[in-house]
Amino acid sequence: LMLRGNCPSYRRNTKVQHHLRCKKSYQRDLPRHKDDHPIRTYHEPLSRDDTIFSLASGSIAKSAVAIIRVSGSEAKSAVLALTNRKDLPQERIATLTNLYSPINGEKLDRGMIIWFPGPRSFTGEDVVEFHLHGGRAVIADTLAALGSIPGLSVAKPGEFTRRAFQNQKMDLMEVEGLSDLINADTEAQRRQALRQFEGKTGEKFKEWRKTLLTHLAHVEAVIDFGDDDEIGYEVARGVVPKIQELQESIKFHLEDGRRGEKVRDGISIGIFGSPNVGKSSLINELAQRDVAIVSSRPGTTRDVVEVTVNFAGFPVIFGDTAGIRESEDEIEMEGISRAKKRFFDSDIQLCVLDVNDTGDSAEIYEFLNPKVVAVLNKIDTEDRIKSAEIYRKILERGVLPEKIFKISCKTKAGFQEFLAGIQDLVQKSFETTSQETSLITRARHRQELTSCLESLENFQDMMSMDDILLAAEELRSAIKCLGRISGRVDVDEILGVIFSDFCIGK
Amino acid sequence: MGAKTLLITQKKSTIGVMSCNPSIGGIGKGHLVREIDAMGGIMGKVADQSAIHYRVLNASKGPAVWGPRGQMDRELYRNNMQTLLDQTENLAIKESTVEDLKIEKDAHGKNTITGVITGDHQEITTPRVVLTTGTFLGGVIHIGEKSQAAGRMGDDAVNGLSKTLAQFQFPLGRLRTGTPPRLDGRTIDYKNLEKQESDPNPMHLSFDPPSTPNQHITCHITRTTGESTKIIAANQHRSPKAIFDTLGVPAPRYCISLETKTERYPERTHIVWLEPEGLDTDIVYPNGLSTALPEEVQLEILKTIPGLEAVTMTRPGYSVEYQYVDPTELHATLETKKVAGLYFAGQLNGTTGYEEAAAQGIIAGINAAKSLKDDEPFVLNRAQAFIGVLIDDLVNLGTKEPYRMFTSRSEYRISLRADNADRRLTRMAHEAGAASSQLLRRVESKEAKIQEISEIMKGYRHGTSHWEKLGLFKLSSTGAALTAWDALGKYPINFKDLIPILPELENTSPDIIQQIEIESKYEGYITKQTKEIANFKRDEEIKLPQDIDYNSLKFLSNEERQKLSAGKPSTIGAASRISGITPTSLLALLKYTRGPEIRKERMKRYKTPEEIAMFEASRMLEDAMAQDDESADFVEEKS
Repeated sequence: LMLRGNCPSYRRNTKVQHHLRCKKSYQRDLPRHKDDHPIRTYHEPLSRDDTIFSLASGSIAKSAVAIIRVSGSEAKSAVLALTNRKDLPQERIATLTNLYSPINGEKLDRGMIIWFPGPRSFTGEDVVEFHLHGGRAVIADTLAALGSIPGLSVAKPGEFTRRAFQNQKMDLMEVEGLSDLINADTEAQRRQALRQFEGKTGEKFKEWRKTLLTHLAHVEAVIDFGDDDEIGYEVARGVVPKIQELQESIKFHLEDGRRGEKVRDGISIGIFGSPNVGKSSLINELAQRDVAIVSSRPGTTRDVVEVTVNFAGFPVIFGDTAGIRESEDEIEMEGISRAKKRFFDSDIQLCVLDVNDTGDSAEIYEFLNPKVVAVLNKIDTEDRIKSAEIYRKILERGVLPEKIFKISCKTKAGFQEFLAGIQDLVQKSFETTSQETSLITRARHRQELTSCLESLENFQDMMSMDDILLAAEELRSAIKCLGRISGRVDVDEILGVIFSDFCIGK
Repeated sequence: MGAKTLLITQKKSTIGVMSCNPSIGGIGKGHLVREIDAMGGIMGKVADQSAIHYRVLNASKGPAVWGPRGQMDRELYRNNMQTLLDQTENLAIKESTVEDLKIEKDAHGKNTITGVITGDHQEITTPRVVLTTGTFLGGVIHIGEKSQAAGRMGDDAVNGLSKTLAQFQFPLGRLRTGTPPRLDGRTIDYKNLEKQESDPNPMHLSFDPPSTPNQHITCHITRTTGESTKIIAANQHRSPKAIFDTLGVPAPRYCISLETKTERYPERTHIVWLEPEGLDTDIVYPNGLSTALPEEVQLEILKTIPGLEAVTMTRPGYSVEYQYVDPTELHATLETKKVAGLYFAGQLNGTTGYEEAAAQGIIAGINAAKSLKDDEPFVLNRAQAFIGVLIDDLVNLGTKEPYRMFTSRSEYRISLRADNADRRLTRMAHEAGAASSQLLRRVESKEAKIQEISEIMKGYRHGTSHWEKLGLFKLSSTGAALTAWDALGKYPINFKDLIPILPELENTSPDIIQQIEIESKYEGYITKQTKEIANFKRDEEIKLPQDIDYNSLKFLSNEERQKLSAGKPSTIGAASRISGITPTSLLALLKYTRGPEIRKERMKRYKTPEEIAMFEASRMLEDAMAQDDESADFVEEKS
């Protein structure tokens, strides 16, 4: 049975409460989320008669309860065959019953079944759920029993959701929301995903789209009825301020500091510094676990090492980078250039300095600016005079005093203040606007919204030149962009990627 | 096309009679006429021979939505039409009515037409029939409380055919339309009325207008008054509209009657164009005064309108209701799905307007002729022509009210223009045998000339300092070099302004200049649409077998199964335009109908964002049209 191994999101799903996601940095050069990357996944056509089944409760490890879900026209036969009943149980009510194998008549388990006749079900088709005891053998034998029923086959990843989408039980944003909900590791992610899954996030896009359609109707009316029915340009001009308002609104949501994407994908905190100042020790402290190899030899970290942490309810990706210095070593040089690139891609930059080192760290000072957090490590061996000099140099580069922390990775001195400070920064970075949650949770949404805004700006230009025809063309494009967000169009391109993100049973 | 054709009509003398407005063209409709002309149809040609007033509607709104319109001399149009038909090879005309159809089962048990039976009980055997009943099928005309069976004032209705159609389970519905009273021009006082002259350089309806135009007349504009509104409001109950509304017989939402106008916008007055019906007649058509109130009320209303205080009516306005067949019963060739060899065109399919009718007529005719020779069907799609949009809408979406053409119905408005209909369609129509070689040669030489001129212009490429020196226009930015083509497209100059620097451009004919000016201006948008069209065409090329049992396809929702079974779309593109069919289902459908190899190939090509976006386009427009009820807002804002 194709359970864990085939499931592409297995790794993310099983990510335990903290950490861990270590990736090589070349992966980081790709878009941050695989959904954001145009991976081409082609699904086989849904077969004509397939009723699908699979374990819905996710893990094949022992558990108290396991749920197996069946969806399709033959779900009915599955109920009758496994329960030996003549009639279906009462719909949407949990029914306690014995389950038997149709292969040899042997009793499989005593459990509950819930019968959801379509269209009032998750997929919109007839669905039955078997709530079983979660032992491996119970699950395996029940799945085998279902497989023996003609017309039933094992569900492919994401197939239940795909059918729900197809039967218009969910739109694309809701599907994405569900995917995020299943993969949510932190409180903020759960909140945001739930909101999207429930359709609240999508409402805004639909509302905008509807508004634009109304405005388009006004503009089109001038074109098609203007001469005959005396609908003058002023009718089209009447929508100009309304579209202006919409543009402001879209802009406002676009300028959300990428909060939604950060909640979903994690905020990126990069750790930088000269070699051997303790960057790797720091990331290990933050991750509570050895992810980076720590040695006293300078230049140990040659790649970007990442660790994902649930930080005050927010997902944070710490990235440890190669020490920045002059080097002849080709591999080290590559590491350094990646570190520099990462510096600019990070949401928060931590520059680590050796509190006693006044010499070698020269190059790192170039990176200091008012936005950067400076971390002075090794205060257990602090030389007061040297550290005062370093402190002065840091301030000269514009680093704010409240963003300078003195710590010791060895003795943990200063760590509490440091963590509190970082937590504060993380929280602030999610509070760029006053809205409760962000509308934009994926790069895909941002792209569409940005092109929508562009079209609206062109619309204004065309209107100012009184070219009502091209103005209407721009409005049509803008509407298409919004439509694509909730999946009214070109769904399949994204669908393949999204659906493959689901584990079997969802 | 070489097919021997018999035209059966009640009276030969009424061929070419314009039942309503003596004008051809207008917004969206002008596109249709030009497309018909480009394919060898005669409507535009006869219209240009008979026009006595030209005006381009939307002249200020960009060439893609220009609506060339010509007012006809009613008599000239009729005579010219009849003369041209008389000269048409392979065409015979018989005066009679068709009362019944002869339909037999073919070898596969499919109903097939074998002939018609006329009112004088004559059986005429034929393998193909194109039915164009206009407003005559079950027609009833209404004036106030009075009504009588008729297809048009003075002409009998046709009732026998309704029975035949019902017998073969064609779903019949009723629609209505109206026409204004006619006035005696000698009793109109034009003194204080605004004049509307014919355009000095008219945009013709045909690509090959006659060299000697008719004399052009002047039209006048007046308005209804508050007094008119009061009288209409007081007599609303006497209009057949009340009965129609109760019975649910829909009227066009666009060409609305005086009664409806008053009901919807009681505080407004309405524009009236006084259009003479010909050079040798005093009859005037008061465009905008469509009404079916009792005759005496009509006269009372007329007298409240400036200029018409002493007017006499030569004929009252009236309303006509007639039967139509749900056009989703048709293939895109306009052949009926139920009866092979039987084609429907015109108002019978739920449309309104001469141009919409003619557009269907030419398609039905071409297909009837081609199918006799077992040729490929001739179908225009949405990316090729407004005619394609019209027929695609009809056969896939059906219509609940008289369907009229608008530019907003087209997704590719920038590309499908009235001015380039010949470049879009003549070649295709020639291959189908409809357009003559002469037409083809004309468009080919036009293309060659356009090519030549645009190459000259694109070859003239200079830096901004050069253009600054020329001083033709104020440059918006410095930097990249500019060709003469770019300059014409981006800056407010005319083709003629370029002649001093490019003397080769001298002596370019006006129609070529027009093409160059429009295409350089719209270049960016045209390129974008060309891409969209390429994607769209791919959908249109994917044929869906007509024998798919949609009910057996489990990947479709119930609603989709019903809609697809009923609509039997002929291509994936057509399926995509049926409301409620999700893109996902389309893709599944596509995969289902294709072999694995082709399937994979297709799927790959379906992946870019712009692509499936095309599925959306038509639905978006539908939505926009559905918002039409809100049109009440904008008209009110205006007042």
